[in-house]
Amino acid sequence: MKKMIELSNVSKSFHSLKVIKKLNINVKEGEVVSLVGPSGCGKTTTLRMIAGLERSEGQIKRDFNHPAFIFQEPRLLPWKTVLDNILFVLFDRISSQDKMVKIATYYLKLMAIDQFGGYYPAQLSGGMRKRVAIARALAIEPDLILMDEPFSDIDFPLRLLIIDHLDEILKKEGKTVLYVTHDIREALLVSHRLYILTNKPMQVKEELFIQRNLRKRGIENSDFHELEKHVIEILKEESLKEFFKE
Amino acid sequence: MKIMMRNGYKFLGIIFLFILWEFLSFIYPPILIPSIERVFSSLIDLMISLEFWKDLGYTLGRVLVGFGLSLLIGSVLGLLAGFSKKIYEVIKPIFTVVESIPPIIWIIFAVIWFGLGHMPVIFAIMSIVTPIIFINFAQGVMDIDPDLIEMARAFSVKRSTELRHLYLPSITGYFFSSLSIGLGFTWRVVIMAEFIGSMTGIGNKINWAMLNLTTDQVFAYTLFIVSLGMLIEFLLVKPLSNYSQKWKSR
Repeated sequence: MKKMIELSNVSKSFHSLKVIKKLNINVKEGEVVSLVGPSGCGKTTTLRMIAGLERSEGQIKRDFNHPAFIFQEPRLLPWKTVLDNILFVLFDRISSQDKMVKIATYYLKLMAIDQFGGYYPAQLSGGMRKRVAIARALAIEPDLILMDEPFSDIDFPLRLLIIDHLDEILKKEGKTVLYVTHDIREALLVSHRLYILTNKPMQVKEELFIQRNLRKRGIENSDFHELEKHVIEILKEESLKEFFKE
Repeated sequence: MKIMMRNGYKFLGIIFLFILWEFLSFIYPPILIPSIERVFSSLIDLMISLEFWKDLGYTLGRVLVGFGLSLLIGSVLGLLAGFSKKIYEVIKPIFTVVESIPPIIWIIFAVIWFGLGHMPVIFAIMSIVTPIIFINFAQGVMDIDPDLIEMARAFSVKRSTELRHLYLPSITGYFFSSLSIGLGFTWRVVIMAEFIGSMTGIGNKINWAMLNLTTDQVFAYTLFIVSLGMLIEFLLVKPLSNYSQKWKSR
């Protein structure tokens, strides 16, 4: 499998503060890889560097053509309807209006939100807006999806539903995903591989491979809990470092 | 029903003004405050004369040219200043100075420089309205949500698509607000400028009516101009603004 992203000794500083120090990670085609780490350790910055929204030192190999970004906030255009928000990212890619609408409707349907195509974002709930943002990302038929804690402000039961649904779509469409979250359970449920990150300056603390059957059996499984506990312990340790730094 | 009630209250205020006017006309002589009937009859007399429409044509023409030029210059400079902090820093103090000079001074300068005619009026409108348009446009661009711009970049949206679907709708509210405020000022300034700096137009006719002590005509011209300004605002600017901002009411 080809590596779609490879970061070699990537560093990043904001003024004099070193946020990321010699980071080495990769994402292979068809994989869902998660970055988990303490809050504010530099996960989002890493995603932004990969998307080219932030400068960096070191080497980032990008072997993808159509990346899509799902931000923490839905970032929908408030003056456009749900359908028009999807069309906004398709205008420059597809010339036929009919085809554009067909694609947008298909992905809205996939996220079970097609009946709200004529609604404005302000008329939707937080969870629905997130689903629109996901549909928008899928609509450009990306070869790589970068996700930045997209479900952070949705309650857990709804989050599980959306994640299950998204997991199915990703599997069916064979998408490659780099997923940033501080929710360990979420990361374990969706990922093939997980990078546990240290506090600032951020580095890889541990790389975990998650077996498919473990993900399938999910949160009722005792092995799942063991793994979850292991990750929590590491992150707790890392978060404590920040506390006692002074 | 609620909307009807709200509009009803607005009309109530205007009806109160008319009652007050009529009441005062009973107390004071017509040369100070003419009655409503007198003013309306005077207005009808004026409106059947060709001269009235000629003067209105002059006034409207000046409004159109003065406001149009202000819109053009103010919007172009405002957009540039919105995109570049440096340009904003350079232009803003110039407009602050221009804005703080009273309109009457601009009219006097214009009469000195260009003589009586169209120019003092157009110049006065531009000196007041251009800074308003400029600041609204600059603020509109500066207030565009940077998260949305970043989203568009992350999805590799072309600059032209970004301009049409992101920048333009973002500043629509500011555009209509500058249109509404600018037009309001234009009506006020155009009459004053014609009063002092022109031999034609409604403002000049108000000057003559004042000199001839025909106060009913002063009132009639004023009533006509105020009604015209309000009609343009409520029948054109407001509906267009509401249409373009309909997503906000959802």
